[in-house]
Amino acid sequence: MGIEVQGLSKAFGSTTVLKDISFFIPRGETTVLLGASGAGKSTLMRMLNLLETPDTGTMKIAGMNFSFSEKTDEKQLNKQASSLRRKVGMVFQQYNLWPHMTVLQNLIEAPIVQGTPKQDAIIRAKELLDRVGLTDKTNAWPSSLSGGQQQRVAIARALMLSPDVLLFDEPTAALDPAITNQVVEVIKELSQSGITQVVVTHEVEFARKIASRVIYLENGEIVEDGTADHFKNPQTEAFKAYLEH
Amino acid sequence: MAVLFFNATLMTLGLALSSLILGLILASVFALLELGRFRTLRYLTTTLVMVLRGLPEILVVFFIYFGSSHAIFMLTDEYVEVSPFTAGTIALGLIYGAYASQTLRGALMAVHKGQLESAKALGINARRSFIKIVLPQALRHALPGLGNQWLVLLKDTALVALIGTTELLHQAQMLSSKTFEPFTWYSVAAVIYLIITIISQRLLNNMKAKASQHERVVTA
Ligand SMILES: Nc1ncnc2c1ncn2[C@@H]1O[C@H](COP(=O)(O)OP(=O)(O)O)[C@@H](O)[C@H]1O
Ligand SMILES: [Mg+2]
Repeated sequence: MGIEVQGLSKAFGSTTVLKDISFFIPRGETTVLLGASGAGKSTLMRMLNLLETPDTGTMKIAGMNFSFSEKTDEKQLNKQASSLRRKVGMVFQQYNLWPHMTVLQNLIEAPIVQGTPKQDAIIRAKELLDRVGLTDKTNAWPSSLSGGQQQRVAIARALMLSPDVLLFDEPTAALDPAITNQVVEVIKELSQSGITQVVVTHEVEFARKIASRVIYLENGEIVEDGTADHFKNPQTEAFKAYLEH
Repeated sequence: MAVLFFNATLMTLGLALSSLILGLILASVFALLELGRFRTLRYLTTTLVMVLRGLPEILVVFFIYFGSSHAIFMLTDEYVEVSPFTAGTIALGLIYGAYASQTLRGALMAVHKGQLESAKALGINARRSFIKIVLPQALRHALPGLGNQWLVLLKDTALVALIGTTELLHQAQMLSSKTFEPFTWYSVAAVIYLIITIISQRLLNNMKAKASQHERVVTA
């Protein structure tokens, strides 16, 4: 049960941003969506938790099936989207922590809405904060944390719902390059736990360090798709050129 | 004398507070309608807010006071007298609501859209995320503006003297003409207005401090 998409496309107004995208990601892999700015990586990733609705295509993810066309029923889709989002967590580029809530409150909000008893949610939150090395920040305000710490809170927040899939949008973009390696460590540690990860980035070096699979995009189309071996043996001139740039 | 001024102060505070409550409710309704998806309602609200902000306050007070009995009569064929207090509250509430709605609308728009998106990505529904995530942040942005408009409202209660409520200004006026000591009585009224203003400002500062407790105090 991995992620399988077939023929996804998406246009904003008259500009087509994604064209006929198909791929399969086996469970437990860490897949990098690589490409230059504007290639459509974020849009593609945001479709995986339905923050964007594809115009056409089908998608199988976290045990749910979706099919998109002009006739897609918005209401029906919205209902399914909430259940999907509990199984597909996301860490945003700007983290989007809620500044008026403490770290702990940020973590327990979603589980409580879904009916987890508050005490259980707190216990789980503390475990996860321990796991990302932020035990002493439980009652801190997000604004008092460094960028890297905020990101780890955002990761812990997404893990609170025990998702099958975790999405990252440009996790290194808002960080000091010196701490990129910490992000690498976190992502590697998570991949050992068996969770399926999809990571959007435009940074080749970072991609090499974390990827078990890579999908390279250009102008809304998949140019290359395969295991991490493709970093050593690129199959297309375009991907080769991107790796060398 | 003291009793007279005490009662007048209560009247001023009563008018101001009931207008504030009505005004805050109206402001929320206006702001949500203006940001909402129903085009006609959006247009009507914008027009109403424009009219309320465009007319002199005293005219709104007169319209509501003299107009409402007339309107009720036309609608129901019954003559109902609207008390100056009620009319004053409605008029001042409408005026406060019109100005405050713009503050609230701006504050709601100032909340970064990523805030809602991260809630959505965690499966939190729209209503819950509005109440728990957008509103608290918007209120913090809005607090200074709302507080400022409250101070204006407090002084606008003096307009209701003109339709016959015995609030602070009216009381001072009556005593002045009776005793021929206008300076004394107007000064008393002035001091009371200032005291209420100072207390309000204290309370507002406390609220602001509480609402921004999460902002960076120490730099790591
Ligand atoms: N909501 C939107 N409305 C209109 N155009 C958009 C929107 N989101 C993205 N785009 C456009 O789609 C293209 C791909 O964007 P994006 O997926 O963010 O690329 P990437 O993440 O690879 O940089 C860009 O040209 C961008 O301007
Ligand atoms: Mg992007």
